[in-house]
Amino acid sequence: MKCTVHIDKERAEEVIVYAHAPSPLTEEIRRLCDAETREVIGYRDEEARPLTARDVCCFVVEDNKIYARTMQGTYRVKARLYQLEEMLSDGFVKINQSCLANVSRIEKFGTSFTGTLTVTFHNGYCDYVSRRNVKYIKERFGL
Amino acid sequence: MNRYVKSFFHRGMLFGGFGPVVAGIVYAILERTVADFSLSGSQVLLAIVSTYLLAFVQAGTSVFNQIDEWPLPKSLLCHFLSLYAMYVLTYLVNTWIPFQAEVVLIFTAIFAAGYFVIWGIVYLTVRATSRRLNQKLG
Repeated sequence: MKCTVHIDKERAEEVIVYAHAPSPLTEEIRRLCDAETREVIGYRDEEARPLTARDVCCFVVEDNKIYARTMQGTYRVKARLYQLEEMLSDGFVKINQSCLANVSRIEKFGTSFTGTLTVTFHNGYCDYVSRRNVKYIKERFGL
Repeated sequence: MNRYVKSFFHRGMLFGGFGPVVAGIVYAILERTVADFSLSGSQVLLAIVSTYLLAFVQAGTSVFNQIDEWPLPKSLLCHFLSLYAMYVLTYLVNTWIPFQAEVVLIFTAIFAAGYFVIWGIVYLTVRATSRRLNQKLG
């Protein structure tokens, strides 16, 4: 299938696919687009703003509250982690009991001194991968 | 309560029970392999309590690597010393090793060697995984 990407900051972003019939590829593109445009509301001080999947590096649980860590700071999110996991399953992966990571926002993997796999996100936030989740990370990256 | 302290106790309570299970397995093997092997009730009780505490601390100290405020050498040292203290105490109170300076020194050397060999193997394995994942990240 021919694929052309036009980078144009003047136009609204959209994906149009011409295909002879629905296929796994068209479904995958549709699912990716859906995941990309799904929004959750993030709260910070008096501000409330919609956060799309691409805004968020990861969702973390702190003191039983859910926070979205973005490039622009941290926002409180009024949802449960499992709800976010179901909603954003395509681009996100749970790396430990308290962190749902945006795969496309992972900058690098590292190793802590106790032999734990760590993840550093594009916003500088670092979290660890629990042993039980290492296999999901490996699967996600085709290892 | 500090979240790290909470996590220490949470992990300890989750995995502490494995200590007496391992001790029980070792005693069962000894019973079948050593002639005239026997234990008194108080020895069994002491073994159960001490190995529970040992497993509790071993599981709990894994939280040290998540304390962001601590530099890595401090975390590693605290982890090593906590485990060493618990192991040497457990071995001494159960008289698995005699209370003699040279024996404790030999135990310390073996413990340290074992700790760093295991640490090195785990560290290198995870580092290899981390490198492969980074290659996939491109």
